[in-house]
Amino acid sequence: MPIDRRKTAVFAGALTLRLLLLVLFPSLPDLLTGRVEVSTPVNSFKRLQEGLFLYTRNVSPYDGGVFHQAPLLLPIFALLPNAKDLPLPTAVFYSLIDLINANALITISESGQAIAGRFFSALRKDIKWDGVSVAAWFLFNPFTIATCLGRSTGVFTTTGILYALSNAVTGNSFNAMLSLGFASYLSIYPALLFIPLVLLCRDRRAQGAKQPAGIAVFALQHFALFSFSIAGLLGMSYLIVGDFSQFISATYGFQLLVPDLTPNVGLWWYFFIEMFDSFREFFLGVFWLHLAAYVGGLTVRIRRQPLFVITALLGIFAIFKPYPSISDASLYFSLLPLYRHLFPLMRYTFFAVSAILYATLLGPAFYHLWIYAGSGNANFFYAITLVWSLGLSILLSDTIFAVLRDEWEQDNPEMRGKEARQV
Amino acid sequence: MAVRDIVADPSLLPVLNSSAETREQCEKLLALLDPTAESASTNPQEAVLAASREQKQLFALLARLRGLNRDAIFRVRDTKQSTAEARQEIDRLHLQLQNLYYEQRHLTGEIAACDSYDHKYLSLPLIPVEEFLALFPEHKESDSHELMIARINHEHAEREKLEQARQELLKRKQALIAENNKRKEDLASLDQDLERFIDHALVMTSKNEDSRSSQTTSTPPNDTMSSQAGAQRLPPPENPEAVRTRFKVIAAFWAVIIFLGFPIWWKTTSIYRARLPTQDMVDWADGKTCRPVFPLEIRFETPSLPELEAHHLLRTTQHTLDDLNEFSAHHLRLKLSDEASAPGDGEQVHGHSQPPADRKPDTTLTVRLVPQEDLAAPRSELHPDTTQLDVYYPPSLIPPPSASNPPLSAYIAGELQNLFIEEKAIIAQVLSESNVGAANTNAPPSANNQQPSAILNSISPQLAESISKRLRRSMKYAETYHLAFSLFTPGHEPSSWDVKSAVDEYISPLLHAFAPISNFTVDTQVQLYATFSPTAPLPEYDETQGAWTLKKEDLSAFINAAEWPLSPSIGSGPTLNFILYVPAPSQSPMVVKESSATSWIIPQWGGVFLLNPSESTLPDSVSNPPRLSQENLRPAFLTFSHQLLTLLGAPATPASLPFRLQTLIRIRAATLLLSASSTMGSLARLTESLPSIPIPANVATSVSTTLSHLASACEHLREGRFHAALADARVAEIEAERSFFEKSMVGQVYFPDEHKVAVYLPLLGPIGVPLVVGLLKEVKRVVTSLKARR
Repeated sequence: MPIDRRKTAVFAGALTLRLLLLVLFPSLPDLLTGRVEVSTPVNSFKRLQEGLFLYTRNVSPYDGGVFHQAPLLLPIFALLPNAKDLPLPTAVFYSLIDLINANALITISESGQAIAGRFFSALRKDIKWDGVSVAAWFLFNPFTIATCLGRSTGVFTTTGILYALSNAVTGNSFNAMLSLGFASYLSIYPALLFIPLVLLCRDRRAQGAKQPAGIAVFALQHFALFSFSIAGLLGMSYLIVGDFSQFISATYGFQLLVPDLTPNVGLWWYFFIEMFDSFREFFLGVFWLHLAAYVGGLTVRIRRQPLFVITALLGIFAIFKPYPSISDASLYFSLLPLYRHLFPLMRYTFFAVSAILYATLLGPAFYHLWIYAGSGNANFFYAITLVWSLGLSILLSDTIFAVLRDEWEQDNPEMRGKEARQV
Repeated sequence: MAVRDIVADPSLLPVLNSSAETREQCEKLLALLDPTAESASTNPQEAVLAASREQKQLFALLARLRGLNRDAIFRVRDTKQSTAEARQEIDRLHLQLQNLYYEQRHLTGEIAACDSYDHKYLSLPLIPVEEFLALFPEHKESDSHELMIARINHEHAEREKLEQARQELLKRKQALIAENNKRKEDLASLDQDLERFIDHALVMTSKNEDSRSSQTTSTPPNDTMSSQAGAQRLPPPENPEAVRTRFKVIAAFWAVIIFLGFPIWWKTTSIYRARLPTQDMVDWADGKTCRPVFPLEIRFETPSLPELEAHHLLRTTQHTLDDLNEFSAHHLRLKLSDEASAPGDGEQVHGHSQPPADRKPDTTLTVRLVPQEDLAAPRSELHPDTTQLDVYYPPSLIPPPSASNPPLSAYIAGELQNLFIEEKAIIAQVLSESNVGAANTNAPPSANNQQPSAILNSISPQLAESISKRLRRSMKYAETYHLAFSLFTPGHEPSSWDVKSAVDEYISPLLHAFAPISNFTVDTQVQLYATFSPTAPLPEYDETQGAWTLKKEDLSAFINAAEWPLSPSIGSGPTLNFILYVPAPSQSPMVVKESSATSWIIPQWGGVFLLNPSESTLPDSVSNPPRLSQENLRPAFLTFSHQLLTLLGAPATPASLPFRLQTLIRIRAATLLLSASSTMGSLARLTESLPSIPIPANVATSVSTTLSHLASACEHLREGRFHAALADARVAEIEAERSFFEKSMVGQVYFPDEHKVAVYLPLLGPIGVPLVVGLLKEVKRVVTSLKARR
């Protein structure tokens, strides 16, 4: 089959590229692992190795105060040979994870949920990329490659989210909930995707032969599933770690309370360095609420396209979550090509892309100036993270605008192709 | 006569007459006595007789004249009196007149002011009088005042009428303007229609001209185009579903804010203030709750006395003591020892070290009465290593039960008084320095309570001086003291010392005795090649003493603080430094010039001892011994132990060390009690004056612990259990300090409320404005739709 051949070529190319980079630049993975843009305290591979070291020596991995990731990763990585001595198996493992993610993307793309759903059908259906192109876009995205080589554990969250989506769009809501549970277990924030994901499952189910149960019952069923999967994973973690309260406070407590203010591409660290201590809790609440508040609003506003709500939320998370890295951005970028049909409606593409590129290139330079050269200060790097967030926000608001415009044109078919003002 | 010309008053005439008569008589007498006259020489006898006769007449006249003179003077006085009365009357009348003048002038002034008052009605633009009269002829007869009132009323009525008319005109104007606008709009829409019509017409004509065949098909797109042109000016009306969606979106955001945001805001920014018993704390600080008293129990052992006599002796001694004592907070209670019947056991000696947990008060002193035959007067002896006072007395001095004030009891009372005088003075000083003493003077709970300052005044100034000097010298109380013994020498020897055994021998017993008061740690160090600081004056060789001498005023520069490693504090408590300085052989022996002493104390810091090794007393000896044995160290460490006592604030008298320790325990208990109380007061005032500081729960716990321990310390003091009181006071002091210096309390002290705006606004402002505006718009829409429905 020609499609299959293309897919194989893309996958093989991606794998080869990753391994080639590893072979040609053996120091590249370690360099990337140390970059703050790739590794945050909650997904750093270095910290994972530290936890692994403690774990294999039968010490609680959280005793060092360095490791803050979910304990289920430990037995998986304990099976792999030491990354220091034999980097290849780990790299292959991460590359395979990337291919799995790409596979899920192909599923999502080929389901066509991004273009036509239960309540809507995009006007520019003909402008679209097929699944392999979307996967290629994902696999050859430099951010994805950097994340893969940097061995950030964020890719597992990405896998969880993408599989939740691919299962949802294919109507397998049971697996979708399990996958979302897995992603939420790894890092809390995917739990916020629950509402739009349930809507997506329900819409998909309603498109099928038999009508699903009422919305409340449906949501409750799925919530029970979701809770069950998380509880199961937590139970397994308990078997691994033993000290439950220490595990919770070291992983979820750490993500919620943001005690480590290592610089990253997000907005939180600088703000909380500057914050008066007595207001710290309050602004933690404000920041988390700010992150969570978009769920309700977006879900209500773009009720007809739950998949797009999820995409937009992932974009918001990539900007506003406590420890964002470029892996979050790469997840968002990987979902954007599904909305190829919206690109003609976007207005600030050039500006957004140039801001993102500018930040990508200048970020490491400014970080170097600040940390190593000592000729800059923290404001240099923070300014660049602001530009990065600005670029992402422009892209995000532009796509949301495009979706709204698309819906509006659907409602008012006679307005198609006309100039419109955003009110 | 000239006088008669002047004096015309008839009442004075008799005076003048008689005076003239007298004068004549005088002249007569003069003539008679004139030695130049003949008569005198002829018959002196006769002349004398005549003269005496004349003299008698003169005296009679003089007497009359005096009477008349007195009468005249009386009359003058009467006249003056009456004149003065008359003048007073005139003055009064004149004043009245003056007042009347003033009144008159004032009234005229008022009248003028009233006349010239410029009232509003004068400036009213009224119609002229003639016109008004023409209008209202009935007012012709009325006076000007009524006329004016009538005119003003008329004017008022007229004006009201005019105002009404104006309002009506305004209304009409509004209506006209509205109509005008409506017309204008109509006209505008007409314009629009016309334009559209023209467009249509143009297109149609052109189409018609271009291709007549496609005429029918080309019209519909033009229709939509025109509708689009219209819609471009006005956005199409929102359908109700979109409105509902928007409402839901806004509601979703606000639900998050209200149900999650506000609770988080409330929870995280509210300041936790544990409730503190502020009033109790202030009461403690003011000394209202507890007045420290020191009832000291003294046991009498009278093995040789029958019980009755012993009791009597005790009672009389107590009376004498009470008479002597003028400081009620500190008093002695005598008690006959229970073991009096069991003679010769030394158990009571250790009474003070028995566990104080039992309810019995600590025995401060044991007085042992021992009869001794060959004594003329009683004699007392204080054991240097126990708290026992032996009193030897001749048996003849045993008081008979009838004696009210026997000499033996007076003697014992005096001895006891002398023993405790210094302690009393120190305690009085401590109490007077704190505000408790001051509060005591204000509060009159006990009538016999005397001011501590009075006690201070009553003690001898030398004693007071020495006490305050010692208080200045001694360290502040601390839970833990670090003792640092340092050996400094300018050369390379001695390089070792038997410090461990020396400390064990001379210092440890003392530290053990101090264990109930403080904890101690001991550190030692040896520092070779320790030179004086370059600025310090060098020792000089004194021929007469045969030694190197340091001047007394240079001793402060002896310690080379810059180079000698004397750490200011090891750990949490203060450090007491004891420096053993072994001079170089070339500078040995080294002494202080004025007193030839080899040691001195540095107030609140430590002590220094100059050790001149015995081998090097000869000036030509070349080196110091490489090792200082315990024997060498003996004088130094004895001095150090003495200095330690002084630095810790133990009193200098009496000689008995346990006794001094007990005194120190009492003083420390009082000091700690007062200091913890005042800390409580400061904390209470702090929390009251700063309503924005948080009070964590552990502060409240500490405060309650402090208060309970203070209460029990006070109770123990009252009962005379000083060890227990000190233990409680120590706990109270530690807890009080902990609560006062709680770190999390001071975080927000300097954070005024205005700064909160600066904290909240930059982030919440940009987020909040769209949300608030959205909410307002939505509310407005709902209100208008409700109105429209009604």
